[in-house]
Amino acid sequence: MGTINPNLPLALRAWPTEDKDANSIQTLISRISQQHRHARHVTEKGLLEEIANKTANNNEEEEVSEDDGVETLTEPTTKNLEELYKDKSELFQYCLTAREHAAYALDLISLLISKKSKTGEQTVSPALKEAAGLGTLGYDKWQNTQTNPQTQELEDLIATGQRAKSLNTAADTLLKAATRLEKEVRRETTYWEEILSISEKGWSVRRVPRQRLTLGVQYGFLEAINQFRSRGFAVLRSNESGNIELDQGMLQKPKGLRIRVTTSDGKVVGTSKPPLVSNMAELSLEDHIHKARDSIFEEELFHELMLEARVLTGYHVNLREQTIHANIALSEASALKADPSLVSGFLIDLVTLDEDLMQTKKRPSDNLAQKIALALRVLLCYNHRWRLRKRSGIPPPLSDKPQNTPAPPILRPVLSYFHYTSAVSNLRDYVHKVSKSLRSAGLELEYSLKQDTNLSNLSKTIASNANDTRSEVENLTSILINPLQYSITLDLGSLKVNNTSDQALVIESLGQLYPPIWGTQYAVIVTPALSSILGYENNRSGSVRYELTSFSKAITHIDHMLAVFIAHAIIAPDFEGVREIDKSAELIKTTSGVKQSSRFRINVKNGSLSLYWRRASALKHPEEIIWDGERAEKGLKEVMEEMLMKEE
Amino acid sequence: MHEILLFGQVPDLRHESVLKILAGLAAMQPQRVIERHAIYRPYRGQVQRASIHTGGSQVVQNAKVNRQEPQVKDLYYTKLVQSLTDDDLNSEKLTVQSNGKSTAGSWSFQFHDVPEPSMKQASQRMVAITAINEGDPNAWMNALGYNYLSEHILEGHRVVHENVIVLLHRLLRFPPEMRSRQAPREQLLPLNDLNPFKAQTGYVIQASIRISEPKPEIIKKALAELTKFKDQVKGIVDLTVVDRLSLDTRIK
Repeated sequence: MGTINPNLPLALRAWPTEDKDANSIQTLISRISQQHRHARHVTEKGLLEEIANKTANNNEEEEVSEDDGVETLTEPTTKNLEELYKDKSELFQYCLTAREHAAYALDLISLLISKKSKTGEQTVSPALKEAAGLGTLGYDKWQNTQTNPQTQELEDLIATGQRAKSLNTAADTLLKAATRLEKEVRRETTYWEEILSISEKGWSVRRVPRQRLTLGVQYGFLEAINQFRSRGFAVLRSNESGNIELDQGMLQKPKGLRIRVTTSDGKVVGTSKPPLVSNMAELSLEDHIHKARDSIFEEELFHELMLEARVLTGYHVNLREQTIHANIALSEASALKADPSLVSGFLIDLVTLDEDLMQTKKRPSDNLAQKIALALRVLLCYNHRWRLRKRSGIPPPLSDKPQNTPAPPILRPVLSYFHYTSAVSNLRDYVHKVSKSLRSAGLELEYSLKQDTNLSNLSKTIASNANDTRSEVENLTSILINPLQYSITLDLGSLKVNNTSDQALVIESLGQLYPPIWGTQYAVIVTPALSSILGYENNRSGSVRYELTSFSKAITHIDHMLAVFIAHAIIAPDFEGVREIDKSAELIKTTSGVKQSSRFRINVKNGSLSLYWRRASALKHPEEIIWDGERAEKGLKEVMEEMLMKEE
Repeated sequence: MHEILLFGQVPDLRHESVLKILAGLAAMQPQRVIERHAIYRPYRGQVQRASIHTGGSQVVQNAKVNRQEPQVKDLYYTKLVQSLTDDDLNSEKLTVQSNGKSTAGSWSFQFHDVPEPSMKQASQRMVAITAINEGDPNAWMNALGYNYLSEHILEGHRVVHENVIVLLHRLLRFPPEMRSRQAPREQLLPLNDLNPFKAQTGYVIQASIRISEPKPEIIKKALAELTKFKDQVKGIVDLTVVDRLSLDTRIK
């Protein structure tokens, strides 16, 4: 409440209004009589004196106020008027408040006494009467007890104790808060230190969409197929101590690809080394990220392998109980060397790494298994890079034709490598055998083996293919997944004594498991000089190329060629009277005067040479002599000579 | 083939940041693009010969021929485009090998039609690109009835986001005294020696989707993807539809 200036002249009534009768003669008379008793006593002189006195008084007052230095009292300005109004309304407020309080007090007292006497009923306000009802508030009179000094003391003591207890609690709370703050600070420091440590090592740390305050790390591969790409991101959450834990959604145990090499009788002779398993609790955050990345990589690899394996059923690849069985021993090869202890295939499966994998003891083919696993991994990486390169180029125009994206080649290059090596070793074995048989028959065959040129000078090839967009690793891998070629040149001319012309036979094998070859393709190339001897039609001047799709077809073809060549180019010119038959390995010896003629046939079968004949004198008793590489007593020519001598 | 286009502008200052944002969005390194565009103009005389009237009785015959043949339509500017590398620009001279192949990138013949008037959300135009594998492209164009007009270098980067091809580029010209009048220049200049087109500063961003044929459902699909991309880069670059006549390749 503000204080009211006591000097302020105030009237608690309305501002005077203009009275119509104010200046009427009656009011004037009554006013004069009020001020100056009766009109009789009012004289002009007396009035003049009065006026003079009044002015003198006013002047004095003015002088006094001027002496005090207060200038505001001169006349009521508009400002004063405003203040006046303001103060008046303030006063009005106070009055109202006072009235209200008084009414409340009255109500309260009335209600209180209304319980015991009827006086209260008259003064209580109807509003309260209705709201609370009469006599609802009661009171009792108590005797004011004398306070006991002992009790007082006790109470004081209790108060002090209580206060001390409260203070202690407050101190404890503060301490707890301080510890918590310290812990939080430490936790935050650890958190940010760890975040910084992984971010400095090059992991991409970014905010989680739609969760503004959480960070996550991207460890997966951007070029992986959709379902693995989205799994390559994990939220980083800090635990109690501030150490970061990877929140990978569904908690999955790390997995790894396992390759087991088997023999044809089903024994496992080698296992690839799974990634190191160590105690998860001891790993640092980066190790965890590494683990997660490796695991997702292996899972993707296995997924791609499964997809690919489905289209390779025709190539001895089967799926059985989440395991890929790949057979790398071709049926033709097993026919040649049926040894059950040889490696015949491998199994691929995905294993959880916490199994006791490390205990397996060393086995002879561990190395091979490890290499297969490594190759598969390299090929998936290569495939990722290939996808990025494909994505960076200008995409094909949109069309309504469905685009088929074939499964990436991962298993195929590995399989085709095995097919290739087995094809090559088959060919080599065959050529060795042929040359051995021929040697035992007294014929010397020269031959040369040539590896794929890309493979034999790999570093040179990589360097020559190098350009800006592809790294050397990619170049290396692309060479390895391209079809590999192997060629064997049989210099048939060397069988003859006087070797003049280029009579060579080239066997090429080209292997890969993609269109258009889908397997190993063999090509037999016959030089022009040779093809004229063999009696092949050759309209062109160049070499003739025969393409054959299987090993058995290829060797049958070569066997036949060898036999014809030996008959036509080696035996026939050396023996008089012996005539060859076109395109055939048969020879006829006609003796003058004898109606029947003797027939000889040169046979080469699976690399062993044989001579088969029917004498004119004993056509029903054919005879045969075989040279299969074992030491033989006589050579082919010697046997022929003997035969012919006998004939004569 | 048709393409659906949107354009935007990027000031020099923002070029690098925009490029980085685009690279992040597309999750790939931007591919450097340097192309030489040589503009060719058909010579009217040869093409219009069909409509020359001859006197006498042949008029009737000619009128018949004219009815059968389609009317001679508008003539269009076409261009030869050669893709180059930074090394090509800096090398002394682009040597032409004996088989007619240049050591620099290969040429292609490109024709761009006027954008379709029906399309409002983006510009859609027909594009024909024919690769020229060997030979002298200029002589080939002359033989086809085109005269060399001018050439410029397009320099920039390309990123591909799904099917959207984003080309952030600017156009450069040889200095006036070095411009060739007859055929594309044999020697190129380093980028710093080239002048920007019409004292233009900043880069142009072109977002396009190529479609194999203008079927409604394919156009719808492409437009949806382009609009999605436009919304994604909203606030970074404003991609807008340009006036179709500003992409007019007709000769007036």
